[in-house]
Amino acid sequence: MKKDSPIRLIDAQTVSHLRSQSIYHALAYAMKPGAPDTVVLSRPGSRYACVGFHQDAARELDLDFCRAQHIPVIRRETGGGTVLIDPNQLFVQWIFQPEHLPRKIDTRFQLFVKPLIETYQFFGIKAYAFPPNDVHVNGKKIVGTGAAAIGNAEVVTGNFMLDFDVATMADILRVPNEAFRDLFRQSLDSYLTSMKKELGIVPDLEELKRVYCEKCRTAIGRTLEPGAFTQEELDWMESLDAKFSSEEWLLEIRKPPAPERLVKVHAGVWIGDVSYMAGEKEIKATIRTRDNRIDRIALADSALVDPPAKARGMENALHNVEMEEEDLREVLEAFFELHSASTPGISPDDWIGMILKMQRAKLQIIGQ
Amino acid sequence: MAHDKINECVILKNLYYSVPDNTWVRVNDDGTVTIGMTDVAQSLAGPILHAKAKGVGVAREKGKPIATVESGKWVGPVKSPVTGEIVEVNEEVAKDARMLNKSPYNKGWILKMKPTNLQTDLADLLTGDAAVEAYRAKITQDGVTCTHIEGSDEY
Repeated sequence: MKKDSPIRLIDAQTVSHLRSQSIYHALAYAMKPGAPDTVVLSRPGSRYACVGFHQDAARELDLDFCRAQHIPVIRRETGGGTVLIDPNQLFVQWIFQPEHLPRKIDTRFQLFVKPLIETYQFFGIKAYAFPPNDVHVNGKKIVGTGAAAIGNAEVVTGNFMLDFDVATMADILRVPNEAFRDLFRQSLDSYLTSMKKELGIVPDLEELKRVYCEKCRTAIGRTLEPGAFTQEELDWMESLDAKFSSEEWLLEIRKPPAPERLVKVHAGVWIGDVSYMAGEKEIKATIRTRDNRIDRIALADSALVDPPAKARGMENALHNVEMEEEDLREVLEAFFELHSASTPGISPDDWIGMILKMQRAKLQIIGQ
Repeated sequence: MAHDKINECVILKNLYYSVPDNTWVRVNDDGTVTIGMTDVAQSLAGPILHAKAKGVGVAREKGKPIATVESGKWVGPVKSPVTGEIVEVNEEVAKDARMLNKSPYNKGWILKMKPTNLQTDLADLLTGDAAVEAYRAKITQDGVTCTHIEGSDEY
């Protein structure tokens, strides 16, 4: 198979929730040297939750709620975080010979998101790449992507977000308290978007696929020729459907409880529930950060502020402050002085310590 | 330690390499081998967040996955450069996967195996100057420049 050979295009249409995951895994496992590169388009027939390969499903999701609501949970073999997937998403999956994709992951994502962005733009949505691997519209995420080496293939996945069910996504997540869930729900609404949200309507699906394939052909510089699954690929799908349905596979990863609960809304926006021991007093807050600044902070106990009525003012003072010790200290000391407020037994250093715990936990998760 | 640097990528000359799979093998005095991923591999993956190795006692053929690593953007297998049985897994890497980025040839080793056919497997791997030259060609062809996060081993 040469690098300029046609790409097999498989429009799998609407498939079961299991197949929406097993198809691209199967094609990768079945790939032999010389086999064609493939682009798959598919849409799940029903909603489900999906966790990344290294995630502890029980720690990420309220599995009891999922069961009660008949929302299946699948653990995929690609990385990344927890997502809710439903028929309002059109999947785009590339399963390529490794030498047919850029070796550098960043360059690979640039290539992968190009036709997605151009398709969104065709429909009037001002989408742009948000490195390393997302697509945004006016600061809101509209595409999440992932990549993996599976079998002998390299896989890249993404989607067209036709519409998004914010309420269910917020409901399925395991959270420390309901205030955290409310903030998460509100954040999804503020920082994720969809074609319906941007355009007021969902474009015709066939037209969307036609435009994407055309943009794909231009971006990759190769033709796309409709094809079908091989028997070996179908056999792999059967076996992967069974694996992805099993509790053993789903719950294989177990991790100890984390001291802080942090959730990524998108690459620039995080929500965390943090606590800190100020001497013998425990101080707690729910914090949302955006691009390394405090976007919102809610103290768990306003009674720690004297007078308590000033607690909201303290939260407001911290809004938009950079997550840096100096900046936080300056704002806190100025607030206490200007507003004749105090937090008896809790020093500015304690508050700073609590806020920076969130920062450290975030850096730990993203590997920095 | 004798080494070469190509586009900032460190290649230690005393190790055996599977260049296509970006793994290395160190032959130990007790008959076991230590296996890890190369500087090139850690650079291509980016900051590694998770690493999960197969367990002790698991037998693996050469070329089959012995571990999976995940960076923020990519998940992939580490393929065994030899056939044998896993006898030890580096728990430090399981606790802190960034060890793979910081110290790919030392503290970031992934596991040890008792090989069943070592001399045959070693014959398929490259070492010394041959490994350096093979990496020079690969690194140039793929346009790779290695990156090292804070706290990485110095060479």
